[in-house]
Amino acid sequence: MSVGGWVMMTLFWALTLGLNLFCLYKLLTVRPSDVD
Amino acid sequence: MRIRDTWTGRVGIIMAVAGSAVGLGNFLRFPVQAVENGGGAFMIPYLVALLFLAIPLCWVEWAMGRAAGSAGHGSGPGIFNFFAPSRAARWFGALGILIPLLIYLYYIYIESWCLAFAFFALSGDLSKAVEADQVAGFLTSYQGVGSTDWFSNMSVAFIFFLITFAMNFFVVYLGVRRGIELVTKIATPILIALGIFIAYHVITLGAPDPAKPDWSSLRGFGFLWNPDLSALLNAKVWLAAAGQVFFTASVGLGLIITYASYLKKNDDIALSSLSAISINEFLEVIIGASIAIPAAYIFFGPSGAADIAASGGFNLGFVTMPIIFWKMPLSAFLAFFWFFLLFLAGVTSSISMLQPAIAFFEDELGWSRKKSVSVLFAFTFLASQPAIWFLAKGVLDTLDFWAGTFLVVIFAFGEALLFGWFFGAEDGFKEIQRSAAIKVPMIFKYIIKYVTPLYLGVILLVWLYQNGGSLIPSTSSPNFRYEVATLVGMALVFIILIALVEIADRRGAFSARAQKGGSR
Repeated sequence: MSVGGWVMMTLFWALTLGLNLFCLYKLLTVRPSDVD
Repeated sequence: MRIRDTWTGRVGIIMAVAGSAVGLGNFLRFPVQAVENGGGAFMIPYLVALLFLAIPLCWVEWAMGRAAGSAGHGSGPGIFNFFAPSRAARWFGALGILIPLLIYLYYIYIESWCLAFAFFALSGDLSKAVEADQVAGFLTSYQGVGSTDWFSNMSVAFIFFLITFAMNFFVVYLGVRRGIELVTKIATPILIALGIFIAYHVITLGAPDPAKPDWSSLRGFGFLWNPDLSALLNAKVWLAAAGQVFFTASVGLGLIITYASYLKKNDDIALSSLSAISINEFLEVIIGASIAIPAAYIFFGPSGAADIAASGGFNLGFVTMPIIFWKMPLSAFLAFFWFFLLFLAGVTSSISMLQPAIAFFEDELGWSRKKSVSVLFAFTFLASQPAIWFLAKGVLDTLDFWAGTFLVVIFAFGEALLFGWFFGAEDGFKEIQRSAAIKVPMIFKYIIKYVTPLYLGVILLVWLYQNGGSLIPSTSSPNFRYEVATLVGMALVFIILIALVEIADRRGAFSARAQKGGSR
């Protein structure tokens, strides 16, 4: 795999995992009472 | 007064919407699109389309569904009428029932193939087809297009269709909470686990043939991810990325608005919507990209993988993947897991296609669930027969071209205009932010008003420029009569839907919102 390939794969895997972790963190920490 | 069903919690609807979005396209269409459109470079227009098209449109659909649902409306006509009370809005909104219904008519048949192939992988019948032409023969004879030692007629295919069809209706009959939510809460995590399991097997294959050390998993990933930056100058690549993002997010189908209508008035939508998208992206960008194409490269090399990609995702999934699995350890189980994965992805999508019609029957016509499901069962069973028996005559392709491609973009365009302009971006943005568990950046107010409709408008115009001629069947086509008959059938279904919308209107369904709101 070329350097460009590594960069793109790492970047988009990180973005996707980051988005998932962000959502999971918020789902676990933000209670319904926090938003009302 | 009938009380509308609701989700038990946000995990339920997130799993249901994610399950609806995750389909065969995540595992078959996405990797092929990436390879054909610049590899890693494809992901740049993909990300742009995700930010400006999919994420805002999902928020729009969730917000529309929640707002209209709290007034007792869970399908296109009622939801569109809620935001812009008029006959035109109700008729246009009927597309939100028509589109998923038409897609269901052929999707359910393809879904049953996945179940059958999973069964034949375990029974050992599929493993007797070791070459590509043998697997292709297995598939076509199963479909009744040809005859082989495996299948001489369509009886087996029809039995699997009946099983799949009955399963789907059993789930929707149980309702949103006890049926759809329960099934998707179980099926979606299994789907994720199966995807991770198969992807792990492909990633750890290394270079299984010592004579061909270059045919390795690492180079297989390079085949998909190495960027061809010159592709970014090609408008076709940007359009392909926008199309992939649009279809993978399941927007414009009328599904999310219906699912969101079963939210409670003050349930969060900003985080729930983003969470469903993020699960879909995980199963596309990470898992979807790590199975079929890298595996094809490992066993067929660069030119073989390029040929396989060029033959399309469908061929990749049903013909190439079994041959690849036969070359791997635990082949029967891997093939079973693969087709069961596709089957689960299909089930969680197809049950969502039935719900808009059921919501319409229950909410606007006041029918019981039993009556709604029975009528829909009878209709979809009869109407799906042409796609099964005239598969080789292009009925399935005509349905897919119109409902699965053209009408979804039209419907999404209408949604974007309705929400951003008729309802107003200011009020719309407030609706998205209401009870939100995350803060949605202010810039999305302008994206929803200007960028998303413009983006969709451009996609629609370019699509019409490139494919508009195909909307009218060509007299020179050998399947001309079948294509025309399919179009007439689709028009008839739409006319029946419009008539039902008018009947609902006469019984005051669209003017009794305030009274219905009390039931929540």
